[in-house]
Amino acid sequence: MRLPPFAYDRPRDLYEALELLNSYGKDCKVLAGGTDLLVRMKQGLVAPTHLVSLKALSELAEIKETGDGLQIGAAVKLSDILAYQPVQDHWPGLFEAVKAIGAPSIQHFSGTIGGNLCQDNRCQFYDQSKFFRAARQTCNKAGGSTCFAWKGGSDKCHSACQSDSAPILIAMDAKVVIKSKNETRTMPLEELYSSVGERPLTLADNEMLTEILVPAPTPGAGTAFEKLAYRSSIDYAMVSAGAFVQTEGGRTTRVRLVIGAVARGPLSIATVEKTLKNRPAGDQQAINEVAIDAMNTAAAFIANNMTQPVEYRTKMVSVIAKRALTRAAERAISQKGFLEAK
Amino acid sequence: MNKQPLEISINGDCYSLAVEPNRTLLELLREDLDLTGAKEGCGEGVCGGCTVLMDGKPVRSCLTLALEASGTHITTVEGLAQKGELDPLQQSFIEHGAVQCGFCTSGMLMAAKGLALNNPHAGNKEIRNAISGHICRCTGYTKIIEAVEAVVDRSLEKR
Amino acid sequence: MIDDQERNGKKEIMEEFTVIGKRISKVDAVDKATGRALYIQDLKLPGMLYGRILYSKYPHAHIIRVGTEKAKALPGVITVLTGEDIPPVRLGFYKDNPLLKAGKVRSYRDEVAAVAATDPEIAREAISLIDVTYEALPAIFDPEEALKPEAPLVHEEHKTNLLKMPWSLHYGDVEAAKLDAVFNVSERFSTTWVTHCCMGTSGAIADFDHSNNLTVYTNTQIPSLAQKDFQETLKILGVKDKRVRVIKPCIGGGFGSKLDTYAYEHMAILLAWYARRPVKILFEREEEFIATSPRQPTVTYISMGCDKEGRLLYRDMSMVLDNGAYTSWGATTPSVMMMPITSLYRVPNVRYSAKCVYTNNTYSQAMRGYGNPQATFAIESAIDMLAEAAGIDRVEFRRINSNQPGDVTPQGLRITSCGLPECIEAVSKDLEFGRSRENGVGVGLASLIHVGGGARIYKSDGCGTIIKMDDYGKVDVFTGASDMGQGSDTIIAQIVAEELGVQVDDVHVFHQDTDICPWDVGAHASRTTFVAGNSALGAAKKIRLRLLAMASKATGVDEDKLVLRDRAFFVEGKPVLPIAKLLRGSHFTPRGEMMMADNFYDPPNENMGKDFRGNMSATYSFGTHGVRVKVDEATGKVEILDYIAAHDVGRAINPLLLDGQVHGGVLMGVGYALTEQVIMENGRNMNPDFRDYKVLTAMDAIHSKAVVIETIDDQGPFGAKGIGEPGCVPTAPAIANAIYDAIGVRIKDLPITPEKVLAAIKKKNGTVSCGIDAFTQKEQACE
Repeated sequence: MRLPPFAYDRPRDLYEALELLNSYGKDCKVLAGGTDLLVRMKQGLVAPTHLVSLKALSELAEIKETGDGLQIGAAVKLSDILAYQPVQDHWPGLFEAVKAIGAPSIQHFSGTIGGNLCQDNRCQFYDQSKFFRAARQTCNKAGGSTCFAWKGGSDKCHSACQSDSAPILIAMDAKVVIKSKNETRTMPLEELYSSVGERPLTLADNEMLTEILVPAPTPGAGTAFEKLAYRSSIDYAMVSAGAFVQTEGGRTTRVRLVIGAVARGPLSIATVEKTLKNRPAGDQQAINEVAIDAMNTAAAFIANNMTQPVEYRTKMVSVIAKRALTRAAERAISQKGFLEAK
Repeated sequence: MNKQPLEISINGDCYSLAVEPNRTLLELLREDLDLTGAKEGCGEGVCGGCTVLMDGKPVRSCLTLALEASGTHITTVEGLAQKGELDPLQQSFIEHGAVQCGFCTSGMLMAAKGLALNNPHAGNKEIRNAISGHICRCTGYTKIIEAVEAVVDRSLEKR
Repeated sequence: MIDDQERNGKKEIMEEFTVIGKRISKVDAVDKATGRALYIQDLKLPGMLYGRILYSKYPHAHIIRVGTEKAKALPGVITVLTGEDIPPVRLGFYKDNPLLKAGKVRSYRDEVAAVAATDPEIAREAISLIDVTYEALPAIFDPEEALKPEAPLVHEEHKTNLLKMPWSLHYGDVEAAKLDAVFNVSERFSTTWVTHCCMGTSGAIADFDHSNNLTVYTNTQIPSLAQKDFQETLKILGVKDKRVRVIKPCIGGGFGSKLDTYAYEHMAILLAWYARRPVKILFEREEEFIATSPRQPTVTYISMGCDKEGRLLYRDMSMVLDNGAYTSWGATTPSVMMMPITSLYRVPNVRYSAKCVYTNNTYSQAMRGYGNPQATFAIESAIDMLAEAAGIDRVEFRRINSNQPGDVTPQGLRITSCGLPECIEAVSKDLEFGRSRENGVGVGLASLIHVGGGARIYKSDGCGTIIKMDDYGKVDVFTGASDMGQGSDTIIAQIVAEELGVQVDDVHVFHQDTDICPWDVGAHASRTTFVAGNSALGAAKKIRLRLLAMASKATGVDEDKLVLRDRAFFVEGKPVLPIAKLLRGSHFTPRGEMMMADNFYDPPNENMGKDFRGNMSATYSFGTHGVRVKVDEATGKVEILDYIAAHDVGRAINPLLLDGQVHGGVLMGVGYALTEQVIMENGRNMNPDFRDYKVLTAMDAIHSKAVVIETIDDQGPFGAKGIGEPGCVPTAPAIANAIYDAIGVRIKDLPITPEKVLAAIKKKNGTVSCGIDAFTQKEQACE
């Protein structure tokens, strides 16, 4: 399988890169690890005329701990995140999520955190070769006007956001730094996602995700990530969940739960805080209630965009949500990192 | 599209080439340089057959632009043996029956080499992890894991 | 740690072997581990064109028009062919599959046109420029539905969707036995499509010389039969009495996928013929999933009964097989299914019938086990159910009914060596059936019988060998066998080396070229070690006799005092004459002679008669697998904790390679049991890639223990029997039985996906709520 033709730039610094994005506009894509983009190009799903490589931008490849928390450049390799001791010690949920991405030899050395967050949505009817797609009508995402993943069809695209790192980072209230030639803006990570299947990111054509900011760990907080898949590597999640639990004196004071792989963007479960707040951390009955809420919320979104059945994935939301919340609460109480917890 | 210059070291040999931007590293190796040891098993980064080392780290050459490899050192399976001496991993694969049809072998070897370079005392779990993005249909992975373990064991002895 | 090979001491009258029974590295391993080995992917001929095939857009449709003008006008395109342009080449033994379809397509996989161009990307573009106008027809995808009178016909001229196949047998009196039986079970089981997933995709290069002799480079498992198929195609092209040479590069996995010739091979020939240049067609991974033939789905109805002591009285089975739109060796798998159905365990009364049905799905083909995995899934699941109904321990039930040496089964299979009782013991000892255990954990077992001494599918089950020796005592073996990674070259080298007193390194085995290698029916039915091994052994024995005679003459020592070992002749423990010296002498002598011998071995097995009776194999392989699983009752996911595979292999010629066959077979079987399925939506393959077709990864690889039971078969080369396929045969029922043991639900449809397990739990518990039950606070299974 060959790649279609394009022009290639390797800017020496971020400024130059942003200049290029600005001048090429929508015909241009940022090339980081290439593990998602190049497959899509081979399948003819995207055909940028220009690729701007981040290879030489060492300023985007840095991970460091500051007083405010963790600062991760968008082009930091997933392997570097896993190898970074503070992540292992203080952000076990992030460690679990990054570890769960793809298969290690892709993830470790090529894939980047920015690439994982900015990957396009997936659907079993869309993420196929040209040959495969040619036998059907063009779907919404491909510029047509139908959706095969939604029972009875739909006027919008029902693809799923398959980033494994997004749910946990959102649960931890991570922020992202977005830059263009003339502007820098910082916003909560969840605002990166549009929940529009056709165009799942809110990035403008001339913008680039440059940094992820994760708040500093607080005493009494715990994080966890859960992923359900047939196999232990390679697979995209049928359902995933990121959970953050802040406790004080054994009670939950703040909590977030974000479900991945089921909706057009990461799905924040709104009722979780109301139900769990001030309850003893790890209270199974309360967690069960939240898990059922999560399932009911997800049920409105889950489409037939994977080969696994919708009904099964829907039901598994509750199981995966419960497991993530329970483990996050356990960690909050025990204050153990990923490696210790194992 | 216009070709762009590419300076690259492959198995210790330096090349000054001009390649098209859409050339993958795998195409460069197999079609332009006749280094056919790396295999295309899927072309989309799932099977691992095309894995080579870039500056000592395993990458999928089918999803790596040749130009992205500019200025790096690439090692392919052809470059594992040194001066006619097989790499200990090659020897171990051969002795442990880790090779059947052989199509996944070069990718597996390069992943294992990457592991040995980066984590010379890896345990069973790390070994499985390192080759978990590689599909083998013949061996059930058992003998491959065993072969890598044996080399790790040896390096432990040396320590 | 992982490989704990155990030897069974039963017949340990240790002959002194130098290479037989040793863990010898594969002879091709160095080339494969250094990147030197060449696969079809790596081959290029001067002036070679790249061919590509256009497949159908519909599962069933009339072809109204194929517009090739734009494709032909594309620079770099040399040849474009449609069904109207070529003579009527038809593929498969049933001859129902036109190479390029004209008039009508019957599946998405149907070949509609083909191009040859100077570059693969030009060929791809040319294919996309071919305009085909179709008129869709009603299609049929369910084989049971396809049997109904109102179903659309896949082949109108065939008048029915039911293939005219004779698959029906009845031995003894099943109806009478049903009356006698005290305990009975009756169940429906189903299996689905799985595919070989050879890591090296399919491909072929066809090349004509100026006299129209044809060379085909292809990764086939049947070089001699492929040669015949290609000859037939030449004949249809009007080319007669020309030479067809089949060259096999290294094969990136076979598993039965290459037991027929396919459109891509014949298409390469036609494109080369019309273009007058060599043409290569190489599948991409998606094409490999879509346009190669999977193992077919089956629906099986089984009833079985026993007396109150647990002795089996009857087995009554019927099956419906989805043949797909055309006929290849998928349609004849019932002939092999008959073996486990009539002969796995002692069962006096047996009835079986199978219907192969045309549908608009992809057409099916042989895959490791050839029908045996499907049949054994139903049989061994039902055995557990019957044992439970009879109140007899599962292991004991199998002991009671185990095949024994000397048995003749109702089908007329003559069981000679048989280590099944030992296999059952080994597994039950290891897994400690009946031991108390934690929640959600269970153990299961299942056994198998398979052909171990060839299988007489054709009139011949033969294989030829030629051996020659050179001036330096080196041995060249030209075999009909096909090594596709399983290691037959190594096994043959060991057999010859042992017989001729040389080292494995001294022996070079050639299997790659029909111009050089003798005839063989192909690498199927786990027959190569037994048949090609015996063939090589026979040739080596001839050489050995001649060497001894010559050495006796040269040394003046009686033949029976000469010992041939370590590359020399020994007298009373002292070397007296190196083989190399003897051979040089024979060449550099007036009226000298050269050292060469040939041998054709056709095993003493029988074609099945009209009633399907007959001893199809010269001996049979047995095995028992045991597994311990843990079921996550909230998600339905099944984890394998321990696995033990005990096999009666006759003799382990090379325990290293034997382990490899077992471990590889087992993991393929685990995939069949748990994760693998070609997902078909109205005839369309929905998961043509490694992301969604779930071949297990190293992270899922299991701790499996291979136990070898040696029964030293009288007929086998050094006592060996076949072991290529058995590893994946009883895996699925062993796992299904373990799941039942763990959580009390029986899954009757493969694969046993988490959602099926969960649905079954729900059904068993009769629960109506889903997810987390707010009252019990338990993760509650749902359908």
